[in-house]
Amino acid sequence: MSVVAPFWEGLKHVFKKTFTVKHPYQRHELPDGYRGRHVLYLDRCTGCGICAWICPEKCITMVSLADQRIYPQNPEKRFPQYWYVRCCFCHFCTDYCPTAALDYTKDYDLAEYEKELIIWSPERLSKIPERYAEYRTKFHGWAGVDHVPKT
Amino acid sequence: MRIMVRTDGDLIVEATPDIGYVHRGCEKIAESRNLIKNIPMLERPNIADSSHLNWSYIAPIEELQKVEVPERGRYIRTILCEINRIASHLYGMAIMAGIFSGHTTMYMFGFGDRELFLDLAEMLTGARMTFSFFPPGGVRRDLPRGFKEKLLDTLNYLERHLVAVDRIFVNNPVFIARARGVGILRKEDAIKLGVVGPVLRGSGVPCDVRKDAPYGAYDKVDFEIPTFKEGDSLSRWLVRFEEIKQSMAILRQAIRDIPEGPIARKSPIVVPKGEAIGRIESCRGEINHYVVGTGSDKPYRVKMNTGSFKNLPALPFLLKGARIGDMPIIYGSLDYWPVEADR
Repeated sequence: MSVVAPFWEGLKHVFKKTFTVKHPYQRHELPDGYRGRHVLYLDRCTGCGICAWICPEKCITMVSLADQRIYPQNPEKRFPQYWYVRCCFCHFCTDYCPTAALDYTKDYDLAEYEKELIIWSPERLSKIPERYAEYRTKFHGWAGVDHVPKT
Repeated sequence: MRIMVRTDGDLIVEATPDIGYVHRGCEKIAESRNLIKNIPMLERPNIADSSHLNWSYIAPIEELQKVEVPERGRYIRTILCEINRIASHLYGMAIMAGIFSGHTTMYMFGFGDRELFLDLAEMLTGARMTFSFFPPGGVRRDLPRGFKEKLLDTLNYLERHLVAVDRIFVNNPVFIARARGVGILRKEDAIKLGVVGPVLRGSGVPCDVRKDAPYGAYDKVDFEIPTFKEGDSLSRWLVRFEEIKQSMAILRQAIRDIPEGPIARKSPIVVPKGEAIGRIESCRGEINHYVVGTGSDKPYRVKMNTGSFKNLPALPFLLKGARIGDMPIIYGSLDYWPVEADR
């Protein structure tokens, strides 16, 4: 066993890119189908409550909306409300939804300073997250990360 | 876990592990919940190894429901489990060599490579560690586009990188001096104590559920069970190192031979009357879930028996007569996961 081998391995790493990502200015690029927060399509939801029934963490409550819009498929205006303190992101609700009213998003920054803000109302859930970061990063592992400016 | 140790100078006379600090009562909670809702909870005891816990819980339910998983579903389960096994073994190797033995480079190598396999699992399941990916009847998603290429790229990379790990750590005189001959578990003692998994194979017993009672697609792939005769801490570490190579061989064969067809079959949300046991080889040894059903949607009883709990009797046995300074390396070589043992 030569003593040189570990030093040679260490020297090679000097010329590689860094692994550090400056979150939240730079973000790790997520694959399609990543199980982040949910998005709710209000025009598809029938208010059946299967999502609330299947939720293992009991984080979904069916609530009534107080807006003026008429939902023909959901006359009682009952929609799911998520309490993200409890959610474990198993997305059984999305898989079990019979009308595909729930979907995955890549939004995972859900921490809040106020307790009430972590309860996501149906209106808030229905907003599709916009792309937030200045930079997206691609993680290569062996070669560090590439910082790709958002186009 | 707390380890109470009585010493004579530097030598350990008696060691008593005191477990139960992270006991969460999963088995009792599982009796009052729907069988689907139990999946995320029953895979939480070992988040580094969640797909095996999930499969072990689902296998007896599928047996009771008489639902057969389609072949493509079995292959996808095998692929995810082997990805998980590589990630977990890299974690175990990094913890033992990195934290308990002080080689920070191995710690960074292990965790850096593990990240790539978590990315693969994320691409397939949508989650990094707790996948909840095996409902009764099959899997939740098919292989995504580009997965095969990314998997083969990652395996090619790891194959090259394991050479560097081999050069720096496996043949490292400092690491060998630290781990060889420390915590020797002879073959007879290992069988008597009833240890499982890499700890048993490190003592020279070629016992693996994947070969003894094949499940999933393990009867269709060709692989070996690495064993070492010495039974010391180094050989337990090397078993994990060699198993990663075998897992890579399994992944290459599985992704090559995966058939077309459905990924899941319909299964009722009911645990039929009867009882069954699941046997799965997890990263820390054989893992069993015993499920009793009464025909309702909740299991009447779920009993877990995990690899870490079965390996626990080896700890006081190995610590007796060892030096205080060798305690971390013996503990690290067992790859003990406290939550899995306490359940």
